[in-house]
Amino acid sequence: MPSYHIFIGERDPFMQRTLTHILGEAYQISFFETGQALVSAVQNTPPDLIITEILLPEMDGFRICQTLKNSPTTRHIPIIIFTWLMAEQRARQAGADLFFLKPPNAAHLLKSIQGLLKQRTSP
Amino acid sequence: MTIFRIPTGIPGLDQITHGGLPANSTLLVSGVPGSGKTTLAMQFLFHNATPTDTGLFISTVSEPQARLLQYMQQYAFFDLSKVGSAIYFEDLGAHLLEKNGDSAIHRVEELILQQQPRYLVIDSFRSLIDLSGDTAVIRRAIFRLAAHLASLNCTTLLVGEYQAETLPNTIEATIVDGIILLQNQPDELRDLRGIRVIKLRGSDYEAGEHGCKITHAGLQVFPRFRTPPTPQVYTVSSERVPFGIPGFDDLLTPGGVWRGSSTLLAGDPGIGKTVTALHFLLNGVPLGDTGLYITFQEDPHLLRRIAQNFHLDVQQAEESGRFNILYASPVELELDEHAYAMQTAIRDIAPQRVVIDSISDLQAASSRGQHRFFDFVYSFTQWCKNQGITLVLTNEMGSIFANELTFTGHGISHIADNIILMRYVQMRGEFHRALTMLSTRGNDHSKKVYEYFISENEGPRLGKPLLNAFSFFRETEHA
Repeated sequence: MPSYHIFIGERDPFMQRTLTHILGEAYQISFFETGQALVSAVQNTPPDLIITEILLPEMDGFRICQTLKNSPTTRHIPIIIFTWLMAEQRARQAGADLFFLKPPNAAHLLKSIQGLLKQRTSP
Repeated sequence: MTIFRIPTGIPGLDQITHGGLPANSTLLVSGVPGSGKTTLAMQFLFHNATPTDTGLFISTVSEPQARLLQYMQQYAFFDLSKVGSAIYFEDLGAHLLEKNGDSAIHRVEELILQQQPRYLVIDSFRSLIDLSGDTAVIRRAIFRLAAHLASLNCTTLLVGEYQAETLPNTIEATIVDGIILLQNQPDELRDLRGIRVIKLRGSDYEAGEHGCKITHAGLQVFPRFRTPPTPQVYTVSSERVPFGIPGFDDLLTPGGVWRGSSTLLAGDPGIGKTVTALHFLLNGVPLGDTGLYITFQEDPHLLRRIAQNFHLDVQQAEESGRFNILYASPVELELDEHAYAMQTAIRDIAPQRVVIDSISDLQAASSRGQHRFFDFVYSFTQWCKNQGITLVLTNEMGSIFANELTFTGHGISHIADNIILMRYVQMRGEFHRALTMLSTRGNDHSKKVYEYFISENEGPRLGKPLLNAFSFFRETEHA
């Protein structure tokens, strides 16, 4: 039984399938299709790590980062922005811990997640 | 009633649509894959959408949104700060694959109502139809969507892969206010891109095919250079423009050619057309004329070296801004792209004298046929005339030492006001340069053939008249 829970902000069903394939065996994963749904879920049940696309309705990936990193109860949760947009600088400014461009490099993504989970701090 | 127009942000397209796309209209952007439809639509959105007047890009299955964004970000017009704040992206691909076109159109209507965009793109609209099983149902859905769009304060681009031949028979063509057709045809080693406005309801536009290209900056349209439908009024100058070549201005054209006229230097390769044209431009510098040398043959370094060999002070003239060079490879650009570059340079520099060296090279860039080439040269000559520019065109003869007067650009002779023929002639076992004024429009001129000397020390000069000069392979004698 995977011990870590990862929330993923991703609307594209094909990308959801790919991420399930890459991460599903090692981690417990939950998908959210809007930024608002992701943030609400994080506030209710904080996950161990968040991966999010920038392009989400209601609240984009930048605002998700800003909102969660500005809250004392959620700022410790590592966030990976995983997107098609070349927006690393803006993602870092918004508070993202890591930035990856799609399409995914499975080995790189898994290694980075492991690294972030090791460094994880408490609220 | 004046139709309010939305500028597209695409250089040249606003010119052919007389200011942009009609506001609140629905237009079909059609063409074969790779012709630039999505680029056009995306450029339009990024140019116009703001956080208050938002844009909505709905992608369907023909190009998944992910891949679309991946490539669109490479363009200079892609402004990341607009994504999510002024432009919203929705992907109907999965919805369409699971359900059908009718259901997808319902979803489009929901999105429009929710987001109230001022600018909407559906790419590809055709996929909505292709993935619908029931023709009658999808037709009703399309008519409903068209009626819905017509009631909104929204300018819509429906993007689709259609062939020019089958487009008029599609239902999409009947519901839209305008159609823009993009083309991309292979032409030997390069692709020949073109754009046409086929229909623009209630609005005038520049009909016919225009050249276009896609670069890092996005789509750029080169409106087809053509003569204005009604002749422009211009003042006929009574001023003479001398070539500054000894003998030339006295014997051939007393005092020089008329200001605002065009002169064709037609001749054998290596006969001295470039040197003659250079003299014409540089002679204008001390007289206060600014010159522009448009060359498709010699790059600026080579041209400067040629001038140096003849002791022509190009450097000082260039530094003073009175001598300018525009160089472009004839094989890399399309005719209308050349026209755009030449017009831009002429507008920037405002020259009184312009040389095009050579027309035959420009002909190499004319992939759209000879008729288009002559139409272009005529239009360009007229345009220069209207600007008061004195123009010299060079033209290579069809073959070296040809025994008849065949111009490479047959038909050009009808375009120029003056034609100077330059040829090699044989005299006592040697080839000599010879030239004659074949015609001058509305002016008397010498009918004689003169020997033409070009030496590095003295430059070009006109010599004595020759007899039988252009009867080839017969001995020519001095008169």
